[in-house]
Amino acid sequence: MSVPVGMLISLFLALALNQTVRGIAWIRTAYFLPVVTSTIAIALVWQWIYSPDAGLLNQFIGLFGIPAQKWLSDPTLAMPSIVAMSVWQGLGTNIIIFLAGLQAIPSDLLDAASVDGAGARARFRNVVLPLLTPSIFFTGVLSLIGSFQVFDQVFVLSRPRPTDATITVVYFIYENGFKFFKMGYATAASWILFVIVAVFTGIYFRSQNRWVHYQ
Amino acid sequence: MMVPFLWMISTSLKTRAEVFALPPTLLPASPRWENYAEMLAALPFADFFVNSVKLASLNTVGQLISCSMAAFAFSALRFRFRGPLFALLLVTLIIPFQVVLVPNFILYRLLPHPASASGNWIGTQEPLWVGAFLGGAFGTFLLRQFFLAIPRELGDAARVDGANPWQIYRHIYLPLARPALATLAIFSFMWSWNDFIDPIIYLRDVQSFTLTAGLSLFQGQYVGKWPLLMAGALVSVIPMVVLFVVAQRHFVRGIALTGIKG
Repeated sequence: MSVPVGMLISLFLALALNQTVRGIAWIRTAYFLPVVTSTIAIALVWQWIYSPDAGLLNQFIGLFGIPAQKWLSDPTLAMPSIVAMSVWQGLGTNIIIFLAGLQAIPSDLLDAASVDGAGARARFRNVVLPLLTPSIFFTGVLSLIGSFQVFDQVFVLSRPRPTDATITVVYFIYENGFKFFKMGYATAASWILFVIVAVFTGIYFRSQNRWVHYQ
Repeated sequence: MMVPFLWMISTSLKTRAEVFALPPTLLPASPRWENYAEMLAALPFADFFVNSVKLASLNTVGQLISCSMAAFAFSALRFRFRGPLFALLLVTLIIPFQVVLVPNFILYRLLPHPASASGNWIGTQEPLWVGAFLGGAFGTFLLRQFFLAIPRELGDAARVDGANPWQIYRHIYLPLARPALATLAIFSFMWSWNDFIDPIIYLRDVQSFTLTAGLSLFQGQYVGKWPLLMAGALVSVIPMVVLFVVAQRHFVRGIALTGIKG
């Protein structure tokens, strides 16, 4: 679930960050900071933001008269809350890749489209988007594989232990292997994780030719 | 985007009453630096810091040495099975490290260790850095790509002048690959610094914990004491922030090249 949401937001932000505005370097730095800092420290801050009693998020929605939510312990909200944090943390990575893709688009193509009378929307739809498909494809594969390897944020945000709503494959491996010492069981789960990652990688690479346009 | 970071800084300087004040205040009335002293006294955070620095440095050095040597062999030397061996290395790049958590653990449990209470490597810091000296698929691949762009004629010329492979590696390839080495160094440091699952699996004594493992222990013991927890989080984040600001160029290039995050 974090894959499409994260990709849409980061594509949008990359388009915005591709502009030349004063102070853009600082804004870019701000987006990349979460990428380089440890998930444990970040998750701790988000646990505080999601905190049911005086957390920032509940105080914020309180301004609009929405009652306080148990962001991390309510089974329906717990996973979306963790996803939101992961999307926020992963934005920088996707944005860098999209920016590299955007800057590789030759400006004469865009100019030619303008001369032919294409508006901003048509230019984006028919020139930018097709040429950006390799970057979209790349971030898609990486985010999808990454989402199966989530562990740190679940460990911190679902303390003392995740419920069925928030457990991930890697947490399952960790808990069975190193808490319950059912190493065989954990290894079996590792194999499943490997197969999942391999299958998704395979599917992505096979479908690549069908909708990815290289220049 | 920066709200969580600012909120972390602000909370770390608040009193307990201010933290739960309604509506929340943006800044504390007067910064309460005692939070940091209390945080440092609560758990051996100085030890955690030293451990994190030590392990991250060892990982960086290990990766630089072993990956650059392997990459040199794969790009500049000719030997039997070079192709298949490199393909094997690439396959390991696809396998997520979480898949081999259990087998690695069992392996380290079999290795004897003279100075450990258990007699094997479990409970020592060794599993967290020795592997870095034994090469790595990512670093080798990254450096090999870079080495392949170096004209073979340079190495050939040196060989004619009587240089052996070691000298070619040391005096031609390494100096030319400085940007790629910087990228690898920064990534190795970041991965080790931010690593969490390995420290909590292998480390037993609190004194040997890294900052990430220490923070999670802290979280369990100081539930709801947000100013202290935020102070701890901030201390563990600052070194990476400084490194990032100083070496932003290499970070961005590394991510654009590989898309891999810690």
